[in-house]
Amino acid sequence: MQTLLRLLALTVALIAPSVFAAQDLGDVVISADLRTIAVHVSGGTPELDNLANLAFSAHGRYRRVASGAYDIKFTQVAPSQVQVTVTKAGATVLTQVASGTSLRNALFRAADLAVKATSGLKGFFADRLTFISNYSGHPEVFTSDLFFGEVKQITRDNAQAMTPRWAPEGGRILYTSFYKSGFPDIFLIDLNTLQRTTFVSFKGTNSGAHFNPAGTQVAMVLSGEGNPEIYVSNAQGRQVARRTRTPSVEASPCFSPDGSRMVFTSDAAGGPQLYVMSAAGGSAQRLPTAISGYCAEPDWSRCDPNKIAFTVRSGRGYQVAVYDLSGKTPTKVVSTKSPVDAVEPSWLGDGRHLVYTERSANSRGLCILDTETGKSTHISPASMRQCSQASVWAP
Amino acid sequence: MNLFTKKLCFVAIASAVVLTGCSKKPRRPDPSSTVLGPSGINPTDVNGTGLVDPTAAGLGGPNAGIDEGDKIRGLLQPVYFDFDKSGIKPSERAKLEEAKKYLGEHPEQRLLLEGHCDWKGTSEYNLGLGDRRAGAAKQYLSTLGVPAEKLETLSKGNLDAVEKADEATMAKDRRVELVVLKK
Repeated sequence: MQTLLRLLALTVALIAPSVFAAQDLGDVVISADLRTIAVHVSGGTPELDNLANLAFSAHGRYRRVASGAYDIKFTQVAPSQVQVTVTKAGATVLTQVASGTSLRNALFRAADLAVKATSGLKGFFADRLTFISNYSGHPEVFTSDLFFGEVKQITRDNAQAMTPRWAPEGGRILYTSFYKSGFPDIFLIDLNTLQRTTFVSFKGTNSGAHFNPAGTQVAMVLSGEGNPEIYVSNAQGRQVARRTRTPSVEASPCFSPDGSRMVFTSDAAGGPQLYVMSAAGGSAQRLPTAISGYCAEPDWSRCDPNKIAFTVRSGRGYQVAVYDLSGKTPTKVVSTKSPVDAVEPSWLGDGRHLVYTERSANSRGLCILDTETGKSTHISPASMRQCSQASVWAP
Repeated sequence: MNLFTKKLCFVAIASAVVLTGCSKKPRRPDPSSTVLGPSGINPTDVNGTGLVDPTAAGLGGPNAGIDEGDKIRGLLQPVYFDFDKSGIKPSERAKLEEAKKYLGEHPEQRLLLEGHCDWKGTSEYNLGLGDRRAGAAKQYLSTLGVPAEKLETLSKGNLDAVEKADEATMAKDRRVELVVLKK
C-alpha cells in the first residue's frame, strides 16, 4: 500500500512538475532530474576541483555524477588563466583558455564557457555580488564573487547602509545610508579608490537608486516633496525629474534591459503592486501578476527581457515569484523554502537563476535559486554573519 | 455621609491652621536664589525652562523621556498604525493634539516625526511606508494649525524593528515617534 502511494505520488509529480514545483521541494527534485545534464566535473588541483564542483552544484541544469554525458576538466595554465576541456563519449566538445582577474575568477569564467558549450545557457559563475553584511557590527556594503571569495568591505560608515546596486560597468556602487546627515541619502562609491561622493541628499528620504543599463540615468525614490515618489536623474545625480505624482508609496524602481521602461512598486491601489512606466514618464500600467495582494521589490532580468522577479506575501511569509511579460507562463512562486522567507531577488546573468535573501528572525543569508527547478543553494558563509540585499553584476 | 462631613470639617480646620501658621512665617525667598533654582519649587513660577515641567507632566506620563542632548525621545507618546497602513486612527488623534499643545507651550522647540515599520514586509517599501506614516502625522498636525517649519520627518523603515516579535510587539513597531528637537 505504501509503495503504491509512493508510486502514485511519483506519477503525479512527473505529470505536473510545474504545479508541484512551487509547493514541495521533494517533488521538485524528481522533476528537476528529468531535465538535468549529467556531468563529471574535475580540476587539476584540489582548489580548482573544489571550486568547479561548488559552482556546478549550484546550477539547476546540472547533476554531478562519477561518469556522465560530459566530462568537464579544468587545468591552471597561468597564474590567472584556466583551461577547460569538455569531452563527450571521448570526443572533444570544447577546449578553451579563460583569463580572469585571479585564479578563482579564471576558473569561474572557464566554467561559464563549459556551461555555454553543454547547455547553450549563458554562464553566471563569474558574476559578482554587492550586498549588506553586519560582519563589522553595523550594516555595511561589501563585494565578493558569487561564491563568497574575494570578499571586500567597501564602506565603514558606522551608519545603516542599505540596498547597494552596481553601476553597469562594475566599477562603482550606488547605495543608501543614514551616514552623516542622519537622514537616508544616496551615495556613490568608486571601487578602485573607495572614494565616496554624495549622489543626492534632498530633504526627506533619498533611496532605492538604480542605474539604467547604459549607465546614463539613475531612477530613485525621493520624499522631499512630501511623499515617496519615483524620480530619474542623469548619471551625476543632477537634472532630477519627477516621474510619479500620487498620494501613495512608490518604491524600488528598476529599468528594463533596453532602458526604455521602469518597473516599480506602488500601493496606489491599496496594497503594494508592480507597475510599469516609460523611463521618460507618463502613465503607469499595473502588471497583472494576479498572485498576491503584496508584490514588491521587482528586478527586471537583463538577460531575459520578459522576466521580472519580485517578492510576494504568501500566507504569513514572503516568497520570490517570477512574472512573465510574454504571458506564456502564469506568474509563479519560485522559491521553495517556505515557511522561511525568501526576499530581495536579483537576477543572475543567465536569466534563469537569481540570488535572494533567506530571512528568518535575526537571520539573513544569501542563496542562489534556479527559478525553473526551485533548486536553492546557500552561498553566504556563517562567518559573514547576516548578509542581505544582494545586487548582481554580470560581466 | 456623616463620616464624610466630619472628615471634610477636619480638613478645613487643619488647612486653616496651616495657612494661619504660614502667614506668620517670613516671606519666602525668591526661587532663583535657592540652591535648586526655580525648578520644582513653585509650579506657577516655572515657565518651561526648569528640570520639571508641570505642563509636560501629563504628556509623557511618569516618563519624562530620554534626553539625547539635542532631542528628547519618549516624552510624547508615539502614534500607532495598522499593518501596511498609514492613516491616523481615531484612537491616535489625541496624541497629536497633545503634541500640538506641547509645541504651543515650547515655542523654541520643534518635532521630528520618525516613521517606523515592523520587520516583516520588504525593506524599500517599508522605508516608503515609514515616510508615508510620518507624512500622515505631519499632515494631521498641519490641519491642527502647527506650522510646517515646526515639523521634520524621517523614515527608519524597518531598520530598528524588533525581530522574532509577537503580534503585540510588532504592532508597537508600526508607529511614528514624536521626537522633540530642542532647537
